[in-house]
Amino acid sequence: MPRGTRSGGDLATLDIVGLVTTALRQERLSGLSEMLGVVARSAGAHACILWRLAPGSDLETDPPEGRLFVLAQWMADPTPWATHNLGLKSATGHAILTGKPYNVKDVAADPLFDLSDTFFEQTGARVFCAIPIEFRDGLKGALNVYRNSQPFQENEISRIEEMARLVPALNQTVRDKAGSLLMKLVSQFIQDAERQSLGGTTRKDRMQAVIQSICDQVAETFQCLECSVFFEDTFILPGTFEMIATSWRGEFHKRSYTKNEPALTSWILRHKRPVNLFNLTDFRDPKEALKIQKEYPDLEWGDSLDFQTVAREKVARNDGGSWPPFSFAGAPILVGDDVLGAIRCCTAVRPPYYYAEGERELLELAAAQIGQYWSNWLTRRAADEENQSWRTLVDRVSKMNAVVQEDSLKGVLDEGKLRSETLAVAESVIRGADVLSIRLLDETAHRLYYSETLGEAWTECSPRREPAIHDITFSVDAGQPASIGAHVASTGKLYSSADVTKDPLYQGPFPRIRRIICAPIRYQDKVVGTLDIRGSGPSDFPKHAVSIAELLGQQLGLYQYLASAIQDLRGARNELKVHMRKQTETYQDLGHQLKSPIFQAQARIQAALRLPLLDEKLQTNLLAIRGLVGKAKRVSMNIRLFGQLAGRQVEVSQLAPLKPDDLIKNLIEYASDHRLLIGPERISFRVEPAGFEVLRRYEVRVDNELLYQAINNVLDNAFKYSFPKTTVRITGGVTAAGRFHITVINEGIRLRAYEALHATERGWRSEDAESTTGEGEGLGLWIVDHIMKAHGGDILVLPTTAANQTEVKLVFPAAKL
Amino acid sequence: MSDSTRIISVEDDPLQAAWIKQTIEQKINGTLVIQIATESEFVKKLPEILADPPSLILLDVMLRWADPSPDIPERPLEVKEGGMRRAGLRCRERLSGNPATKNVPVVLYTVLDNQELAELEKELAGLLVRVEHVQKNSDPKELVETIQRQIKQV
Repeated sequence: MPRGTRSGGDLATLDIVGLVTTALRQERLSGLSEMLGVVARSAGAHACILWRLAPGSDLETDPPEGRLFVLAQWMADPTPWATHNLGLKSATGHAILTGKPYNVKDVAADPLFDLSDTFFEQTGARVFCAIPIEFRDGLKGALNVYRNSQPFQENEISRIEEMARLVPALNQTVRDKAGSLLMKLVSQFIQDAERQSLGGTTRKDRMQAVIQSICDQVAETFQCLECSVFFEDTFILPGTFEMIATSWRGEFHKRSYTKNEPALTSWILRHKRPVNLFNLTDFRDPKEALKIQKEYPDLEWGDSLDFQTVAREKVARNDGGSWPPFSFAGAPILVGDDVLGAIRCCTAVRPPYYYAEGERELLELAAAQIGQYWSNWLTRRAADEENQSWRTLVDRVSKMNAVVQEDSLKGVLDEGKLRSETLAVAESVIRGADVLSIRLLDETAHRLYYSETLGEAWTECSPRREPAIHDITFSVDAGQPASIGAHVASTGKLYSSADVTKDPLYQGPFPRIRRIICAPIRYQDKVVGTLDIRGSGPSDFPKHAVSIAELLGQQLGLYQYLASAIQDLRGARNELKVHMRKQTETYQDLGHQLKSPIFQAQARIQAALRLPLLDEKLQTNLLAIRGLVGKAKRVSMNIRLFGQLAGRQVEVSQLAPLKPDDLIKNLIEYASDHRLLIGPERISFRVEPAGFEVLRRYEVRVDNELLYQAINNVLDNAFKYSFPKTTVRITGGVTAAGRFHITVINEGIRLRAYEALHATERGWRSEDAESTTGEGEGLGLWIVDHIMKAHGGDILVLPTTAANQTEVKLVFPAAKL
Repeated sequence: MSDSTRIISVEDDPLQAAWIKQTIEQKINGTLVIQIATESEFVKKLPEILADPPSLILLDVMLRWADPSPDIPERPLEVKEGGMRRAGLRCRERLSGNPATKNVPVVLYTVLDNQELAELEKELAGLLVRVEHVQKNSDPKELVETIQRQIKQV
């Protein structure tokens, strides 16, 4: 042994410093082995093993009961040899029981040596020394050093004892540091993942990769093969806890658990408690199994024990020696009181083969962090889903509304298509909605009937049913069998149930339906039907499904309202058309009825006026009558034209050349009549014939009846709005553009420039004219405008000039002769 | 009838006004018909009417506010809002609202039929003036008889 020139005390101090320095440098549990290496080298040993009493050992009984297992080991030869399940009836057990070092100078001669232990044979160890120690948690153990020859001397044992005294504290330090590093790494993984998720991704594979990293890290820290995490994904399979990630690289027979299975993971989920088992093989021993049951009531290990064999193959132990304990540790993953999943560790491949309380606590801490991460991920995913649902909803409803708007303008709203589309929208935005329908209210029969359906279940179910689905109705009358639809139709309130099988109201056609949202379709405070969204799958509808159903119900109500309004409008329009046609015909008929007697009266008056020696009084009366009949004729003609204009343009029946002499004669006669009607003493008139002489050089073709109606309407206005003692002038001629015009100029009520633009509008009157307007509806110039257009001409209304003059020109196309 | 029987005729159609005057003065001896052509003229002459009420007032219902002239009086708000269709009724209201004329009989002489008139009457229901309604008709008999009856009652 290399001791140099230093004294034994110096050496011991140096070794202790070396031991402490080494221990403090470690951050993994494997560091315990490094620590033991310092002890072994200091003692000139080729192996050093840290033994610990297994849980459940009881030193107070007589004889004491218990086993020892390897907590850590160091071998000069890197082959992972170790003895396992060492009984108390051994040299090491003796040291622990007596609390004194036990020095075996020759294993072959030692009475406590177990001949079946192949460790010594295989490693060549012949001497060893067991130093009893007490761990920080009060459990006993021993630090053993082994070498091939030269028994340990007293001074060597003393030095080993000094180092052994430090081992429990250093063991705890290494464990704490390893645990601290693990938690630091777990936090780091999660923080990185959360930071990345700020970008918006909620992909499941990314989330699984994070948890996979954590599993791998836990497995490495605990030096085990399996660390697995299970979660319940309520979106996919509520009640089932699926394996999300595992460090185990082999096959798994079982990748999911429910709470009610005879399995360790199920027990953790069911009881929301951690489990820490020293050796799963104890389940084979009824006595040990009873002890386990005492600590963990009704705990069973239903998984195949073949798993242990597979695990051992992984450890590559085929030497026939004893096996390390097959320990198991698991903890529930909780958020508040809700169990989200579980984390478990198994199949340790290096010492320590047992998960102590410290490891179990670490597992719980990791579980808390993973749980928070999972919970956040679920929240983000739900938010993502909701956002996506609303986005899709808004997009599709907007498109539907655009179609509705277009169709509304055409007056052809396809309600059936809209209802089908609404169901398709609901199906696409509500996860788990697989049996959908729209029921409409038959107000006469007081019942709901299926109007539209969507989902495979309908096609599967309908042919086999009697009566067929679409013949099933739901009465909304009180006293009839109650149903969810009837309830919604009568209360107008949305119905939602996550488990409809327990609701006696449910009488729908699908026995496997588990949940329903039934939203009222209403318009104008009246329920006209229901939107039914059913789910038969295992997972609940998302929380926003109710809001979406409500919105779609309102949307359907709006469509219903629009369709009804369009139908009413169409009906009203048809009615109006019929009404207008009748009115037009009536106007025209009345006009025709008036035409004949008025014509006859006019002819007779004209004949009477031509009689010689007519009494002056009689003549005056006849002229008045002529004026009145002329007015009656004008009004009757206006009635007829108004009737025509209600539906179409003025019709020109027969065009004839306008003769100047006839025109002048008629103008004088009409002006005279107007003057008489307005009061002969008030207004005078002047027809200026020279301007009409152009008709001898130009041909102007007119419908005479319409022409004189136009002239009379213009004259009516001119006389009506003239100031007293003024003269209405009537002239004619050809415009610069070669068109013939008849112009009426009067002096009276002002017509402003901006008003002149409106003068030919129906029912329009100038501001100042309101005061002097008596009878009449403001149709005169509107009719003239149509008459002129029917002739290819125009009416020009020129505003009042400074001299209070207003001009109205009737302009006709003219052809030079 | 005495020579002092005066009837005010409010009519904006010159031909009809002349015919009314001629017919009444011919058929009812000693009657003088004073003509008023527009609502604004009636409003202008109202103080004179109140000071010396006539025996009867014959009112057209639909009346122009004024004849065209360079100085048309401004229309009051009630005229702007009510329009020419209520002019005669407004004149009647002006009479009934004054003690001097509230008992002067009024005959509404109009082309409006009973139903149209009834609708307008609803707005002025409860006024104390005694009113009769005669539809304009080429036969003056009914008008003359109504006027005679009303004057006799007074």
